Amino acid sequence: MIEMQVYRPLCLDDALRYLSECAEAQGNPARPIAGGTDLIVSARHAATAGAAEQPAGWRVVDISGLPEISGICVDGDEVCIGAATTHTEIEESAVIDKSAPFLAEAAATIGSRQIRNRATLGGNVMNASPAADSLPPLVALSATATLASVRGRRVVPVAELVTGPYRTVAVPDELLVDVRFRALEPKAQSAFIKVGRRRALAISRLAAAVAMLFDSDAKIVDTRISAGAAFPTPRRIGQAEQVLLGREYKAELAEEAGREAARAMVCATGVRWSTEYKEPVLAAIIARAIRQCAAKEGLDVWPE
Amino acid sequence: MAGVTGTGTKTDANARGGCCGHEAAATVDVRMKVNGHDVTVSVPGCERLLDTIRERLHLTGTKEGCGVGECGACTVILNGQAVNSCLVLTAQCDGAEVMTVEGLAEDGEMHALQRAFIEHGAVQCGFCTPGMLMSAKALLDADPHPDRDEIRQAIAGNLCRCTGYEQIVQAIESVARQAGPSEDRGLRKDHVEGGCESDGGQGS
Repeated sequence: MIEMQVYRPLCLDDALRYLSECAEAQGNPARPIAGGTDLIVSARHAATAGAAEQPAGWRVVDISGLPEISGICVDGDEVCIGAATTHTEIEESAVIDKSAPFLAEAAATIGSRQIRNRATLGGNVMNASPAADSLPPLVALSATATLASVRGRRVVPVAELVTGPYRTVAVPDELLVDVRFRALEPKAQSAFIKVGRRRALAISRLAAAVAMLFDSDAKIVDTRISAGAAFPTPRRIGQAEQVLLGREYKAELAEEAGREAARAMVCATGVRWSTEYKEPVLAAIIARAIRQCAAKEGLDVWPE
Repeated sequence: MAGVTGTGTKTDANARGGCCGHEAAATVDVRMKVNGHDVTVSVPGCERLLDTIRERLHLTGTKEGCGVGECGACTVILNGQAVNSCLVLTAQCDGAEVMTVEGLAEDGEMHALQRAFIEHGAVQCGFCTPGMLMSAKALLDADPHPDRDEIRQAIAGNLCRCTGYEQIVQAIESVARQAGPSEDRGLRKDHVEGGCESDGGQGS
């Protein structure tokens, strides 16, 4: 394990001051730790890799349990999830179950019980892994991220926060404090499907997050489709949404939207070694997620 | 979201690493309750809870398998929740309550889970057993009457290469059956939603 200097702030302002001081000094910015489920694994690798350019030790600021950034609440017409909220809290939250059930489903697929008890939404978002399971539903929800520093706050759409694998627009003195989104319509249906190498403790090979709103004539009046581990940065898949929007639901439409999503992925990433697998699988899970939404609405049957 | 900005007393500040001084310490003092006993340790910032438990407190029942949160051999209960102690810094545990496998037995009597594991042949090489027991304990503490699927979910983060899991699930089921009437079922999800400005977090 790499050496660490650990700073334990009493409050958010204190954490932001420390981040700011470290950002100004000697090119060794502080790394926030909450659940530690990514950071401690990286610290092990950093120690064994022995990279020459690595600073001798890491500065770490423990933000776990800071009350200002923990917990879930409804704030006006937005749902607000503090960055230090754990996946277990999201999975079990009545607010999330009502406002964005597919986000709760996604949280429930992350790691193991032990991981979900520690790992936080903020960590999942800011680590910005292409396989981060919270990102597809957050992007489908058009969620925003609030970045705070001693200089103030700024709000960035989650889709723009992540600029590439493990990269975000946040600068070293900024801390993600919350993620916000408007609740899905009460009548909307949503689904999250993850494909991993096994059913527990798996990193997503691909994931699909879909929300659908039907009117009483089975017409699709709104849809949001997003995928995990498919695109260089998380995004909604407009091409697939356009297939559905304004049309009367039938299972064939779901299949067509799935194929369109897969085509969009290949367009964005080019044909890679994994395309032969990922193209049909993404098409299938997007179609299934749409069909699950329709099944919840009584318009389809899934599983068949 | 401005929220709580309590700066605490000076003593609190010092205990948390110097709120006012802004000195990030390479060594930190941590007070915890481990298996009901108060302990104070002074540890390097990078020390894992697993190392503190095994090397400083000599509670070697907790095992290290993978060291990256994949195998669950190092599972302990931290503030009521099962966690991988290989992924927690001891520095993050000031004020925490920790239970290890050594804390299961009471007055020299094995815990019902320990007896059930033995009776059901749920222990073969035994390396995963302490972690399995702690995941099972955390589950039963939260929900004394889990169904089979909930049991399997609770131990999904604990690898066993010997038993094939069936005997372990049966052992936990047998303890769940002994746990009396199930009228409190469903309470588990009624936890308080923390507001942005209240402490909705798990503490620690």
